[in-house]
Amino acid sequence: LPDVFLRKLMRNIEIKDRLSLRLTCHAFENLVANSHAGHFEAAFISSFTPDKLHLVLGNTSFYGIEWSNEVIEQRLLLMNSLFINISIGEFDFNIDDNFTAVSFVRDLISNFKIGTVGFRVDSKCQLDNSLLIMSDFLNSNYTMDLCFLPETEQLLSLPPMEELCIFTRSKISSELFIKLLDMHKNLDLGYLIINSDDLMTAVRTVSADTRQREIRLKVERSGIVSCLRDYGVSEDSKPGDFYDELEIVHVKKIHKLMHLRFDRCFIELKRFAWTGGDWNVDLTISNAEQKPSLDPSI
Amino acid sequence: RIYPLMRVTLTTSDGASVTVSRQLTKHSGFIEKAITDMAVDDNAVPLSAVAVDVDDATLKLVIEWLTEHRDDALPYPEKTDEERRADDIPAWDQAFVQKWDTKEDQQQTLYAVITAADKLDIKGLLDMTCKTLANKINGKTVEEMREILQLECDFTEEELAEIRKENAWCEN
Repeated sequence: LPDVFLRKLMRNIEIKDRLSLRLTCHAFENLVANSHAGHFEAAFISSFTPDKLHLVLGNTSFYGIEWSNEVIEQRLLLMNSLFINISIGEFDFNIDDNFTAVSFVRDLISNFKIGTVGFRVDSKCQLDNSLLIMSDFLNSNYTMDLCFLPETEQLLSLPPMEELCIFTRSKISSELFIKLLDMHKNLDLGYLIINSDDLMTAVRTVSADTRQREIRLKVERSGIVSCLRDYGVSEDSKPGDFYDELEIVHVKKIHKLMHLRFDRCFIELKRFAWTGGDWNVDLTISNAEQKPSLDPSI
Repeated sequence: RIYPLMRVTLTTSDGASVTVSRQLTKHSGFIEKAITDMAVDDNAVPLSAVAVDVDDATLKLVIEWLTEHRDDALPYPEKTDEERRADDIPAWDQAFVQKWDTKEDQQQTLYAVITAADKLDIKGLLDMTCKTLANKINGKTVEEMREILQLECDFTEEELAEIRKENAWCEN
């Protein structure tokens, strides 16, 4: 078969089948090692099982590694024998504080092209390691799930992300939120303290952005009530009412749901009530072309 | 510009000749280059014969595929890595390949068409046959792969054992 055809063919072969093809004959063992593996939508690597490393490429899993130099060398050799390059749409990393693991992973993926590099980060050490991996993929997009609140200086030094999620019990200030909003495309932040001026700044920012953006926040119910009252919105506001450029689109008190619009920006409040305890309201600010789904049954 | 009625005669490696519309041959980089290299008047009817290194039976299959795909966009859209997939073979093409499955020498026919697509530089046909062969290989055992690809195992037992040991990191 023509060489150009074989190289094209190898871009359509699953990783697991490349492993089998290595066993067919010398010529195909070489072809596997020296051809592009094509594109895979997703890959995942985790080192959270003690002393094990779990790598998923497409529909193929690689599991278990001892951190001895000999074994590491063997694994790197296998990865280098499977393809010369590979393209991954989204690669998610969940690597613990083990520096050997990070160093191994960096070597392992040195010939990867990755569209979006995603991280789940539980500690400062893991954040530092994630930044090392990011430095190897400067042309990729990034996403990050932060399960702790880093020092503000380090948080603000992160590169721009497609999506930054911060899951923490620590409260995030309004000022920090506005800075993060300017840096990252999509945000998912828990326990935010926000004032009406900064909330309106966020709404105007999202509305004016040509990119499709979504900002998901958890804000104390009383804080949201205070913001809405500052805009002139009240318990008696109904769909179609305008408060300057802010329009009430949908109100369903029984479902604790309210939709508002500001120019191109939709604002959704879930678990919202004008009175009650201090639970968190789910606030979504988005300029997605599609309006928030309105269940016709409500 | 390709005139629909303009025709070109192709002579095959086994001495046959067939005259086809330029609407079909425009999809072949090789034939189009040959015509350009002749520097003949595009209005000459028929054009001088173009020799192709493909046998008559295979060329008939290629022409059948070209006839179905005569209106495909040119230049052939090269797909990015992200767009490339093997499960999007058009229904007509699947049936075209399935038809070979009734033949005893189905594998030889597929290989002959692949080689012809490569020689004639027909990117769409090369792409389709590539996906077809990939789909035949994926999920098969090593033995089945050797059979499909007509390969002889030239490994020693020790070499096979070594590769199996390397592959063992993969759990499934």
